[in-house]
Amino acid sequence: MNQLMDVELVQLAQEGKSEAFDALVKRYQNKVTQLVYRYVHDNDTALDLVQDIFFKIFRNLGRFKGECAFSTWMYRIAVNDCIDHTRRLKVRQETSLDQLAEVGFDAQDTRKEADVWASVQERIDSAMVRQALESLPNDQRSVLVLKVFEEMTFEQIASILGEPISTIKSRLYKALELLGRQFRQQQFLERFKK
Amino acid sequence: MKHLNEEQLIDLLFDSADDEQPELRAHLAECEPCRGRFTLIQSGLTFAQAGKMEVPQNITPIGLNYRSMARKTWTNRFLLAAAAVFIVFSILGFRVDYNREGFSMSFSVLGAVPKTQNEQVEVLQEQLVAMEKRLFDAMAVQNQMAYAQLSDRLENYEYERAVELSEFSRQIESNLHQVDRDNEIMMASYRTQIGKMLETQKVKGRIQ
Repeated sequence: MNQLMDVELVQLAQEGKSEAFDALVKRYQNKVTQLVYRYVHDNDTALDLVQDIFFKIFRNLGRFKGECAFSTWMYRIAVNDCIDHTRRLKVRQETSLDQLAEVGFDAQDTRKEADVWASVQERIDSAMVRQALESLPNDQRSVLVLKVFEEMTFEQIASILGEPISTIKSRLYKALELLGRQFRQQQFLERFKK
Repeated sequence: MKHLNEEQLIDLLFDSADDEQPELRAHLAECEPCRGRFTLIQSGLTFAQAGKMEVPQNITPIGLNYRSMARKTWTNRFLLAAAAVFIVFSILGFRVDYNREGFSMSFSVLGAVPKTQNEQVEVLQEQLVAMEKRLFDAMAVQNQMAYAQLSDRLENYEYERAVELSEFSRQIESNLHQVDRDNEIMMASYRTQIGKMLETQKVKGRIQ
């Protein structure tokens, strides 16, 4: 089964061959998990979303006619699910206490104080970048995740998101411009602090 | 050459414009505004890459296979069917009650659930209260309407009086002008007559 191409596995899965579907899941579950994790930055949420995405794939596989590659179709479902999730949680995420919890540390553990502070600083920096990424509009964020993190080509992204390449590039430009501005502001503030 | 557009700058950043690359790079080297925009998105890319975290090793989805998906589908279908049945029964009017006499179940079509005597009294009382409320509301509305009508009539009356007064003033004014004009004519006539009489007296020599 594992040697078969996607098209063949999809066909077999559509015919009800459970091994074919399992092979597809095995082939793509890490990639989808990676994409989703980089989108939501949280283990539990990512796992829930991956379950949901594969369930949607399972449910809709019968309707997949092969107009595009299976991976493109699957990534489209994944990205749309991530976007839906961020939309649902947007209000909560803005004021989430999780962001504060994220930079916390065990106050009882004084064995490696210096390392703890370094780790905290690193987490704060990382949280800032994540916050900046999460502040991007969903369409720009999707392009950024697929291009910068998943290193896909513009053609692949255009196919997944169903938009022309020029639109994808324009969205990426806007996203990077926004992040560039935030980066410079942060640099300025750090210089000011010193 | 015109300034580079967003697409061209992105192509340069990701080395995705093979044919035009040297030309675009040459423009970028010379044009300061384009270089500024390019540096900005380059900073953005650096910033974004700083947020690219490795996916933790322990994050592995469990139970992603045909069997669990099929089971989930059947569970969902069952829950959906149960919810549908519940909704249909509720609409149809199934009702389960419990009192000292034990459980009782009643049924009526389209939710018209039969009521006990106490419940009927309560319903009648509620209807009475509702009717009273509607009556008071209607009375309040009627009062408001009567007040509004009276105000309108007063306003109309005042307006008509003002119009009449204005017309009356205008007429008096016009009459006064007429009287003035008549007086002037009469005065002129008297002057002429007196002049003539004086001339006659002079001719007769009665006056010098």
